[in-house]
Amino acid sequence: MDAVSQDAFAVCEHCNAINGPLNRYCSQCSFPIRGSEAEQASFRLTVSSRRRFLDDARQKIKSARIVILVLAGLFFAFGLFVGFTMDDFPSMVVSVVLCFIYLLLAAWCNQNPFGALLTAFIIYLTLILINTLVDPATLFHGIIIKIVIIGWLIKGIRSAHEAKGYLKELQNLKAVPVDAE
Amino acid sequence: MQSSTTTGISYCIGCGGEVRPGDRFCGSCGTSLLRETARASRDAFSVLTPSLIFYFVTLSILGVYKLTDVFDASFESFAIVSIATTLIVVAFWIMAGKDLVSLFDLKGIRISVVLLTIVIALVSCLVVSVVADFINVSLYETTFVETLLFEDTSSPLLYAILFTCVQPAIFEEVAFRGFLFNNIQQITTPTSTVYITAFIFGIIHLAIISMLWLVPLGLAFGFLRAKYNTLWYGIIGHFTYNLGVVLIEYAQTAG
Repeated sequence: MDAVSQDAFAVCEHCNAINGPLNRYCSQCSFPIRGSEAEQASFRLTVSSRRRFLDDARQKIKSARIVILVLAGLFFAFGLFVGFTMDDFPSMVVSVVLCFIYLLLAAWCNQNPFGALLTAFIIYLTLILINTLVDPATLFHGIIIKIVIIGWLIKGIRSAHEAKGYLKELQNLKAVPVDAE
Repeated sequence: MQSSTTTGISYCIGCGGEVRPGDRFCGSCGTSLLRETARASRDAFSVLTPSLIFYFVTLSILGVYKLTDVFDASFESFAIVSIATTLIVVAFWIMAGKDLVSLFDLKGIRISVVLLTIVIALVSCLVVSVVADFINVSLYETTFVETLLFEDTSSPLLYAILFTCVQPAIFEEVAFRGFLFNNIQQITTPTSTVYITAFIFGIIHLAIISMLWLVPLGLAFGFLRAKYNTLWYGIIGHFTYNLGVVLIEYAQTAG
């Protein structure tokens, strides 16, 4: 009697959905409720690896966001410097506007990291290109820092794109991390 | 997608087993029945390559024109740059091929939206002309042209309308609300696509103060494109706005 009722309904130990007697897999999250231990372990491994990828991606997004904030700070400092020591007010206005744009992008980065980081990346490359056209020598000023900044932004953009995929996959498996909106 | 849910009973496409409505996975074989399965995502940069190439090639040409001494301030130089950037748009337009055809469909165009677009474009260009006057910026910066550029041509007004109204209305819209929009939309939401395309539309004009009105303008055309899936409203709005700019500048120079 006891064995029959257990066969009739199975509560999924992964997502707590109630499954019919014939289900080998949970109909809500695809956990192999009546699968072998190895199959169940492989399901758990998939979930935990996706979680780790998602955490990694989010870490890289965070670093790229910090790069945006640092750039905002640098533009602000540069603007004040050229404005007050060289009386170059047009450059000061441009730098302060850029600082403001980067602060906006850092704020947008919390809602949509992909859009914000891509825009920040395009603006940054645009500035390098413009400065190089005006004075080719500037291309080599702080070239290592420029490469590092570009590298960080590229990593952030890639990660922001990948993070969406991992999150979707985890949602499908009913294994959304607690901190995800 | 993967199971037919129109009838009461549906079957898994993986194993043919019966699935109940509301099931997200097949209970017999574990195949996903979800409409949106998580696909292995393509690398963001390989998707965006065409957009980045278009943007930086065009930016380089405009940058050389505006920031270096390679081109002088003559009408001929301007025409060469204008034709070069137009040809780049045409090349990407051809490469996009069928993807852009539906955006030119005249079916479903609503006269009320057309009229509203025209009215808003005219009001915006009046407002911008007052603001630009106040902060002492040439309104022509909006359309990337110096004042008096067309003065020496045989028919200044005609050339001004051709190069600063017709050309941008068609080719900037096909680029920013056409293939760039489609390309970026492949990997992000329509709303952020509107923001990103409006922003790059603003910076590519290389006039930092004009971004005050270029970005909102790009946002307006972008939202029209996203909402109605047509380029016509953007083209009409862009043409009207630029025509307003040209006529105001023309009246001011003449007067």
